[in-house]
Parts: sequence; C-alpha cells; structure tokens
Amino acid sequence: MVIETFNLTKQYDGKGGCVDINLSVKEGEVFGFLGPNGAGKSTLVKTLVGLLRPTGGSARVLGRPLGDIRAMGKIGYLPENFRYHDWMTGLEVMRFHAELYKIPRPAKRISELLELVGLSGHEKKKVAGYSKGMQQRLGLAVALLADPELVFLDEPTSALDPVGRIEVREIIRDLKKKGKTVFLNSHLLSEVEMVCDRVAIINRGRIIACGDLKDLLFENSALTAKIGSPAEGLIEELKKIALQVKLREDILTIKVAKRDDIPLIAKVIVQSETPLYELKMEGVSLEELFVNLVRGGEALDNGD
Amino acid sequence: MITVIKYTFKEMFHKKALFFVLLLTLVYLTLYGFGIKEAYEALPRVNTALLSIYSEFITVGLYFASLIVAFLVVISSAGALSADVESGVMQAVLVKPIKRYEVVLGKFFGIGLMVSLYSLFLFFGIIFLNKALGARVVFSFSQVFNGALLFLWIPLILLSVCLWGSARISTLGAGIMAVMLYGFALIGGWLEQIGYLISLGGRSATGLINAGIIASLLMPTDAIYRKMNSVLFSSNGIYFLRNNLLGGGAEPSLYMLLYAATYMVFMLHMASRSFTLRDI
Ligand SMILES: Nc1ncnc2c1ncn2[C@@H]1O[C@H](COP(=O)(O)OP(=O)(O)OP(=O)(O)O)[C@@H](O)[C@H]1O
Ligand SMILES: [Mg+2]
Repeated sequence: MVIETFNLTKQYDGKGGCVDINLSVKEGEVFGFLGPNGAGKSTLVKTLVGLLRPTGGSARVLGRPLGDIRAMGKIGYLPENFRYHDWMTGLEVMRFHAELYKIPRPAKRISELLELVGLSGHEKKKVAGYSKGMQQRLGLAVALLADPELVFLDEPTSALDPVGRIEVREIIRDLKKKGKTVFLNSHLLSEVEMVCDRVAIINRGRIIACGDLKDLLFENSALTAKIGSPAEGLIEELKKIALQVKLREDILTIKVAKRDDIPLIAKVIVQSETPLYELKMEGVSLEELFVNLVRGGEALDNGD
Repeated sequence: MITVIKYTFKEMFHKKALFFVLLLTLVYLTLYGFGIKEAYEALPRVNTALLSIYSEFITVGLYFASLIVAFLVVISSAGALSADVESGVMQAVLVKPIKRYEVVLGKFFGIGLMVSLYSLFLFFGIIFLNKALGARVVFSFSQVFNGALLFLWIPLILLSVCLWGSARISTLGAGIMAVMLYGFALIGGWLEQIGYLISLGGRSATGLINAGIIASLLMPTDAIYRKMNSVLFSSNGIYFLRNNLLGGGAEPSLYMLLYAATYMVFMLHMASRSFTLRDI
C-alpha cells in the first residue's frame, strides 16, 4: 500500500477538518478524493504530506510514518493555495525546488517539465508576473520535479483553461502509465470520472463512500424491465437473485449485486413466461451519486 | 540547509527595505562624519584627557549604528518564517526532504550572514571615519577584532529572538515582540548605568542596577554592547570611557557572556521546536 490511514483525524480546535479516515491507496492507481467545499479534502492531503499534525489516528505513506524525510523525497505535492517565491523567475523556482530535492544536474529535467506544463518561453519571467493559471502550471511542474512515486494534486485544474484541464488529464494518465500513484482532490466530477480508478467521497469530515469507481456506480444503478402482467411467483423468484425488487405498474426495478446476475434475471423472467418488452441497466453518473450521497448528509460545514 | 541559506541570502537583496536601510546608513554615516569632523577640529590638540572624548564619540557612533542594524534585523527576520507561511510559499518548501529545523537554521545563517557583513561594514566605517578625521586613539589588533566580533554578535541575538517569534506567531506579532524586548534591553542598560553613577556617588542604587540586570536577562544585547566598549576602550587596565548613559560603567561579567550565548542557542532551539510543531 502506498497510503494507509488508520482512523486518521485532524481537527482544528476540535472542529472541522477530517475525522476517522481509513483509506488505503494501492501502488499505481489514480485515487480520486471527492467532497463538497469544506468537507476536509485539503485537510487530509496536508496531513498526509506532513504539513498538519494529526490530532488522532495514524498513517503510513510509502511505508513510512507521516512527514518522514525518506518518503518526502519521493512525493510530489501541488498545494491548493499554490504560491511560489514571487521574486524568483519560474526557472529559479524550479532550480530552488530541485536543490531542495537534492536532484543532481536538474537542468534537463527542468526544461522538460516546463515544456510539459506549457511554460517554456515564460521561464525567465518573475513569478510575480504570472497569471494564476501559469502559477498553477508551475506548481504542477514543481510537484513532478523529483519524478515522484506518489503525487498529491489538490484541485490541480482550479485555475486552468479548458485546454489546460485536458493537458492535466493527460499528464495524470501518463503518470499512471509509468506506474506512479496519484492522489487527486477534486470536485470536478467529470474529471475524476475520466481518470480515477478508485474514489472516496468525504462529507463533513467523514468518508461516506469509498471503492472502485465502476463498482460504486454499479451499486447505485438498477436494472429496469418493462413487462406484461407478471407470472405467479416471479417476484419471489427474482428476489432470490436480486438485492431488491420493486414493481410499479409495468416496470420492474431490480438491483443486482454484480453484472453477471443480469443474464440470470433475464432468464428467470423469460422462463416464467412473463412477457418481456424491454430490459436495460439504468446507470447513475458520478454526479448523481455524489449529489445523492452528499444531500443525504446536507450542510457545507462539518462543525461537529 | 545550504540551499535555504543561499536563497535566504539572495532574497534579502530583493527586499525594498534593504535599500531603505542602506540609504539610512549613508545618511547616518555622512551626518556622523560631519559631526565628528567639526568637533575634532574645535578641540585643542594637546590635552591627553581628550582620549576619553574621542572614545565617547566612537561609542556613541557605534551605539546608533547598532540601532540601525537592529532595525535591519527586525524588518528582515520578523517575517522570515511567518510571512512565508502566511503567503503559502512554505507549503511547497516543507514537503521536501528537509527537516523543519533546517529551514529555521537556514534562515538564521542566511540572514545572519547578511547582517554580519553589514555590521562589519558599519563597525569599520565608524572606526575609519574617526581615525581619518583625527581621533587620536590607538587600537591594538585584538581590541578591534574582539570589538568587531562583539558588535556583530548583538544583532545575531536579536535575530534568534525574531525567528522564535516568527516561527510561532504572526509577522507583526514577532516584530512587535522583538522591538519591545530590544527596547527593554536599551532602557535597562540606561537604568543600570544611572544606578552605577549614583552608586559612584556613595549612595546605594541596587534597585536600578537590578532592573538593568533583569532587562539584560530578558534580552542581553545591551550587556554585549557594554562588553564591546570595555574591550575597545581599555588598555593596561585603564578604562578611558567616561561614564554616561550609553556606555562605560560596570563591565558585564564573563557569566553574562556565557548567558548571552546560551540565550541565543536556546532561542534558536525554541524557534526550531515551535516551527516543527506548528501546522502550516
Ligand atoms: N486553518 C483552519 N482553521 C480552522 N478551521 C479550518 C482550517 N482549515 C480548514 N478548516 C475547516 O476544516 C474543514 C475542512 O476544510 P478543508 O480546507 O479541508 O476543506 P476542503 O474539502 O478542501 O474544501 P474545498 O473544496 O473548499 O477546498 C472546513 O470546515 C474548514 O472550515
Ligand atoms: Mg480544499
């Protein structure tokens, strides 16, 4: 496991923050961490990179305790409120961070990264004169400087234009291809849907859903069948396979545990000689899932 | 840590305040030079008792020079850690394979180096002006060397205090705290001198002297300044400097020097500790 947390808690004077977080992130996956504003996403990331001291629980990152020097050399982090020394030029910022990482002869790596994030041509300008999006691009380059095994990106596209967003998505896919682990904080669900393997959803400081993105979406989807009048015993028969069966007028709504149960359902309906006109999987999008889960919890702030 | 030292040193050049201080320095040295030139020309040239007058001019020059250095220290270090935390720059720095105490010490050595160079410039500037404009004082090499070391030690003590403040509280808070402590030390120094002068007259003034000692314990900068005076202006056991508010008087003991050294190390330790424990 690249990240493992055990009841990790960080609260500010007993309020806010994140509470009892139990997560494990595997090597090579892109992990999406979602939640509404003020849910505790940034708090968790800052705790994992050692900026905040946990108020409870424990965690291991790259097999080491939080803030361990040996792990820090293999971690990249793009903060949410990125700011870089504004008296330096972009190039100087990169050199400074390369020195902090103790990278020998970083010149080539730096120019590659500046190219990658689309800043080449601007590297001689003072950071003070960078636009917000340019600063975020610089932050991304800094995060990738040490060719890290684990990258934390806290809303990496918040200031980027549409093209920049696509580029970041490609960078993340590329990292995954190279076997790197990415921890992505975001509330841009479409973005998460496109790149993440697994997600956790946090609301009011607590995790309310966690798992494989496909499974999560599947669990929250249902099979609908348009049928004629149901044969006797059909519902009972279906209930043996499905998790939940509901009949309203001529529509059967069936929740199944796994994809492989769908043909079985079809078979049962057909064999019962109930006329079957239509059978389809009604999926939910991540957005619907997210809104349902978060609405269930309500409120923006987790002032508990 | 070397990286932090290097970039802290570089960063100082990008602060507008530094140029303001340099300007202040030039104005000060010009005025001071003009003042002593006029004064030394007006003095009769024979009387050997004049030695103490020259010493007095030098010590007054150094006194105000140390105030300018203290000003430089406060403006360049009160925000050394806190301003970077407040602006968010620190977030990206501290997630590197670097211990937080290295950042604190890096700031100390980076700013300390700059301030020391500046102190040396002022120290030798004042001595040079006096020599060039006719002060008939003779310093041995060891007097100047030790005097210069003591002179540049003063701002380093203040710097360690500023960094502790900066590690714990806001830039403004750290600045105010450092200025207040430094002010205590100055006023405490005067009180102690007044007490000393009174006690020379045969009356007891232990209250004043104790107040001065307490101030020196809170911030030993003024004690080091007086030690520097006694190093510079005594030879063969005779102390040339006359007693006044700014200098002369009782020479701080060796224990005071040891205390000042411990004080500085302790402040740096507390700065590192506070910075390690805090949330960024
Ligand atoms: N420094 C702080 N002091 C006190 N409370 C804080 C502090 N930082 C965050 N909080 C509280 O902790 C909770 C979580 O904040 P956090 O910044 O982690 O949210 P987030 O999920 O990143 O939100 P966003 O999507 O807006 O970035 C919020 O209720 C916030 O009010
Ligand atoms: Mg956030």
